[in-house]
Amino acid sequence: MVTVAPVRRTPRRVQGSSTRRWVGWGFLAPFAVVFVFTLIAPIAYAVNLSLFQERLIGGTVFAGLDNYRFALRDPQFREALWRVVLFFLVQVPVMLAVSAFAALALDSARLRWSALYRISLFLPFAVPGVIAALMWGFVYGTDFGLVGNLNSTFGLSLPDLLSSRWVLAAMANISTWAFLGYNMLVMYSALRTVPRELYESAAIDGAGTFRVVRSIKLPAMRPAFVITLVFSVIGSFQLFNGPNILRTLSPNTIGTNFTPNMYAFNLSFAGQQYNYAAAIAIIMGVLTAVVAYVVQVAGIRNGGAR
Amino acid sequence: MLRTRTTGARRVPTVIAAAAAAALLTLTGCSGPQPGGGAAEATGQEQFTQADIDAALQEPTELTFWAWGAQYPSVVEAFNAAHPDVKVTLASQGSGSDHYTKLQNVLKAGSGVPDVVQLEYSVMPQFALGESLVDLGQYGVDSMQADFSESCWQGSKVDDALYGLPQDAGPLAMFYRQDVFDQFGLTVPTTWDEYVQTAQQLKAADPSRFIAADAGDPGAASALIWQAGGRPFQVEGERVSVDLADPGSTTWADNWQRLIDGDLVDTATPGFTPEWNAGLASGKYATLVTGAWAAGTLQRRIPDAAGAWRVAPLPQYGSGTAVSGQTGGSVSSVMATSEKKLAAIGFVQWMAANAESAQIWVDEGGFPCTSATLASPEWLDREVPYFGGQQINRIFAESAEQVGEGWAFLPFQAYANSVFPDTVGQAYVKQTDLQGGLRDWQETITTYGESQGFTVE
Repeated sequence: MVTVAPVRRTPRRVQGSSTRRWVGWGFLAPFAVVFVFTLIAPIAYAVNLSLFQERLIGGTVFAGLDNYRFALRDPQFREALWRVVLFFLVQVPVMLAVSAFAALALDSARLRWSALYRISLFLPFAVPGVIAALMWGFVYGTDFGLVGNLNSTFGLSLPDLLSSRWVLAAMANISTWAFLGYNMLVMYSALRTVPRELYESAAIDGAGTFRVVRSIKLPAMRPAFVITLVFSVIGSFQLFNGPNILRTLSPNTIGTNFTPNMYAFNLSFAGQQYNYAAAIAIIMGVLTAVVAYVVQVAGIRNGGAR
Repeated sequence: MLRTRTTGARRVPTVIAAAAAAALLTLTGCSGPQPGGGAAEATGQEQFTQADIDAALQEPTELTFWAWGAQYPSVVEAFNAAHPDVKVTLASQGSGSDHYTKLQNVLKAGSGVPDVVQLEYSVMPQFALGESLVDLGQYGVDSMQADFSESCWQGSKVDDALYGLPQDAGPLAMFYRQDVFDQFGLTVPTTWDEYVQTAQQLKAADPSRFIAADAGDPGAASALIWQAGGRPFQVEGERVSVDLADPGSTTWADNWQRLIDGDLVDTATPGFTPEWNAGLASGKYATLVTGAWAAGTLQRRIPDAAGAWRVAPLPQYGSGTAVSGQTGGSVSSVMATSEKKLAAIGFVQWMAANAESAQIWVDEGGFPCTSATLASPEWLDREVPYFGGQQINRIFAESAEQVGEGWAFLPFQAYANSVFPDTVGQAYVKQTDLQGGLRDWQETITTYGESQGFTVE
């Protein structure tokens, strides 16, 4: 009897705890199923694709890391990558600075009809990227477009914004226009969470407007800066829609490898090099995740140091 | 600060997930199971006769047909009316590269493949090599050779196998603005030297006008290299030879370079864009050197310019026998995966060679491949009001007979054409010259060909 009781109790305990463990999975299942099928499975498939080479002559062969090795030495891929890095370094600071200014202006309570400004600045974000690119394509046209009309009406000679000299700036303009309002809104909502009492205390302490901005508002916007910066990293590295549409207007200046994504797209759909394109997409995905992570960690660390 | 840290730390996985998801956007289109080498033709042993094909058109059958040519809706409608048992559904997947991208995707996915497709001569070899097309010779369709012009027929074959029936062609001609030529007292050029001189005169008289718009177009460049006697691509099974520095290619490059150097062509406006349309409508461009099918294109895209355009024979490189080239033009091919091949072949035969279909084709501005139409006085003598009542078909028909022999396209021409702007296109933005651009193009083509398992020399 003495020996039987613990034996009986042990399986019961195991049974009970395992049930409890499965209950947890059950709650997780709706998320897990979606997560596995929409994220893990496609990535696994892409990784698998990237390890092979399918040829018009000779069929499919296992290539190991050959596609990755080739990509790292591929001058066309490097050129594309360098271009989006340059884009990120120039466009993002400008866009975030203007967004921050707009957010501070809206929050200053000195604007009449601030709701109107808020919605107007945000409106471009609601325009689908494809439509926006088409619209700007018409604006930039030197013959058919707005630039052309300005030239002929006022006798100006505005430069061709889709020439190789200006094309990157033209793209940056479209991105800034499209995402300024969105970033502004993220920063503005961060400002709205600052307790009003803080401003009152600051006023009692004799802080002026600029002191309040520097010591209260900007620090309060830090998390918003970090998150908008992270989104901008992703947006810049994955640049595709705008240049791909404007390419029809200026195929010689916007090449098939203008951005890494366009390069992968052309390789895959014009060149049927699905495997190499998959390798490039994986490299870009990893690179984007790493940069975004570094930005995030750096943002938190500096915030903690204050 | 503590709040900042926790929200930040929680966000990190989200960030990585978002980045990874964004990376995947480029991949979603690449998925799909392996089609197992494109379902090779398995019916080779059986012998089919025309009677079998005709019988198949009496059975209730539904066919899907992918094409973008402007004449196809009327042709398909007429076919359906003439064949109560067969119902052909026409679907347009966009023109040119969009169409081929869709086709490649469904072939890769192995489902949703149409029964019949429109393929340009330049792209057909690629799908033939992928074993995606039915060799019509196995169904006795070779016997129709006499129904078509020689250049159309040759364009429908790869390595002596017939992969489609020719539907239209693009023998080169020079379209020009009579009003602009009159206004500036220009004479219609008959040689390329004269063409350059005319361009200079026009430029001197009105700097805002150009002899033509050309931002670099692989189809047009190939056609003019073809005319100059260049045969840069040769294909023999898995061996491909590429020589874009052959005498013909060099002749074209030297000639065309003069137009670019003198800013005589508008290099900032690619074809088929709104800007290009506007330029053709306003007389900014005095000529348009392209395939005969452009007669229909002009009438549809720029109806307002009726009466302003005329057609002249293609300018020549020398004073000897006139030679022409070809751009565009297409065949109708039956897909190897089709389960209704006999009816599909019957449909293709009717579309390509039936008199009613041929009539609709030319009535709607298409250029014919059928020998009967090409020789018919009714068609040749037709005075087209849009072109000031000119008998334009005579010029096109003459050009069709002058098309040089022995031209071949690469078995991966679609890819080669996609990288033309990256290479030869750089000469149009003055980063290099045309000969340098052609060298770069050759290099890219060679690298790609080798990576695809071809022996390239």
